[in-house]
Amino acid sequence: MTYGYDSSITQGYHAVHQGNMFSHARDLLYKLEAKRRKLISRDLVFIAHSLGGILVKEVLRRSETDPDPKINKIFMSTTGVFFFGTPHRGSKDWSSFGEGVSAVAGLLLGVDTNDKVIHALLPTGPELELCRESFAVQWAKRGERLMVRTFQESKGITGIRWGGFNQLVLSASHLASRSRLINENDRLCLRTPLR
Amino acid sequence: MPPDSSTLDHPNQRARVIDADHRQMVKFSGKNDGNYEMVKDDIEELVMNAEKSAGEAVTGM
Repeated sequence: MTYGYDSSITQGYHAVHQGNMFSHARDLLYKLEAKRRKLISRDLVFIAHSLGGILVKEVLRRSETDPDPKINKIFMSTTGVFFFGTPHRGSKDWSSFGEGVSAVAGLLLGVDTNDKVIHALLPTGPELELCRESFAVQWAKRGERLMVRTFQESKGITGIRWGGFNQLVLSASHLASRSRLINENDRLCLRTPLR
Repeated sequence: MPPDSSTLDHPNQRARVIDADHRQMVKFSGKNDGNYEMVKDDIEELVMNAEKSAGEAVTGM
């Protein structure tokens, strides 16, 4: 199953109706439960890129605390989580780091980074920390039964600066003008099976 | 993401570096892509475990 929380943006829904990271996590959790109804104990592996990793952590947190045992099964059946370039924590220089996160999100989703849509989607510093902490507790609980892998990129993207770590930030309009083409490419590649 | 943001500070953590940028890190050129090979072993292990637990569920073991 491929879940892109950008779909509400690319399909042109209005920002007001699409909610934030947390409502997307709830949406994904219920979709997963519905899809697995016949095989509720089947092993489940999440493979997440970028901000998708924060979404996955929130899905697992919600799954465990939900009063419905069918929903709890999602967390209990999860045997693997792979994070590719997920920002697990912010930086001391949050405003600058947040700027970097929003620039990358804009690039991936193909929208202007000044757009309200992007800002509604992005987690705040405290939210990022909440997700990281709850996941650390869940990981400790599952122990050996949960395989977690984190992958980091070795190269920076020209024009993107992560909270004072490197380089300059290009203007939002410059990024937006380039991002549509890249986005087409992105979606195509992300949905190609790994074989 | 900068390294100190994309790690989880967990003793069991295996953090690996993929030789690509933030977007290209999830695009593999094929079976022989070194980055892909690094990810594949872990996925295979999970698939094997899943097959085992599915077998146990069927036979009731």
